[in-house]
Amino acid sequence: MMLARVEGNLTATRKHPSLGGWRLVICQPVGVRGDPEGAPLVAIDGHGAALHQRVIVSTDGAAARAVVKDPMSPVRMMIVGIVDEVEAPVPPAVPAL
Amino acid sequence: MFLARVEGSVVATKKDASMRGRKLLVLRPQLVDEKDPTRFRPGVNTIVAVDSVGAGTGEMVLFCQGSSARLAPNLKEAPVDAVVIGIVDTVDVLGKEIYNAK
Amino acid sequence: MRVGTVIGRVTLSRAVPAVVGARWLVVSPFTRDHFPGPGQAPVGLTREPSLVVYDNLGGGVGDTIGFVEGREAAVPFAEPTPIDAINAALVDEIFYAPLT
Repeated sequence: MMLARVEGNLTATRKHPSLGGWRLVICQPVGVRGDPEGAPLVAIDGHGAALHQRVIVSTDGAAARAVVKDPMSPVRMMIVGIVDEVEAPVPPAVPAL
Repeated sequence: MFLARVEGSVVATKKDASMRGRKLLVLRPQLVDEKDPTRFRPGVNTIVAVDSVGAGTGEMVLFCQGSSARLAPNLKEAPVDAVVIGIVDTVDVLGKEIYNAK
Repeated sequence: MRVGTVIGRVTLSRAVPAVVGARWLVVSPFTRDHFPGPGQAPVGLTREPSLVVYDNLGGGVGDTIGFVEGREAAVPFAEPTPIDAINAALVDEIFYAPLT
């Protein structure tokens, strides 16, 4: 899973039917200090995550298909939890670019 | 999927039994050059892919990667992660035709 | 899904049977620096490598789309279909408010 911050959402009328009724949330993957890592992703959300809340995003397609109840859904990224706090007392070792 | 030029082919005598009889092509991915969208820039990685369409050296092809590659005809049991799924006819970018096979 | 702009189209002269006649879009993925805010026009090309996605929603050049990559792209098909990227949503509106 990834740690991410909610930074928006998008609307789409024409989309795969299994996405109908689902909030499509823009999630920015972040490190433990909240620093952005890579490009924003879009995940379905069933937990009502608010703007700028930190969330946990899973990319397990099988789990996402079960949640949208469609075995033929292409959906893969899904918010599976809202973060209360992240404990990271030791400064993370971020690889040099 | 990505676009790629076929740079050549690979001969491998010693290989997995399920790979016997497969033609393996060497591909150079072609990415639209963000500085000049009328051209391609080559990708950094060389890819070896199974040929499923009879592509030859010099042709522009479309290839698929990952476990989806095993969904190509007769590759279900093969340990492959890249397959050529088409030979490109035309590529249009931002209203301009930047590639034509002819 | 990732989000990106449709910058072009691809046609094939030959293809594996499962994808004969398919529509293919050339897509430039958004990055954190190139992500349109509300009311902004789509961005054009970013540094992210442009990829080709399978399309059955009728996307065209200039559209913003949400696309799914990996094995999941092939899940919507009854027949085995060797694709690793599919257009999953034609985006109407983006609300984007990054923190910084």
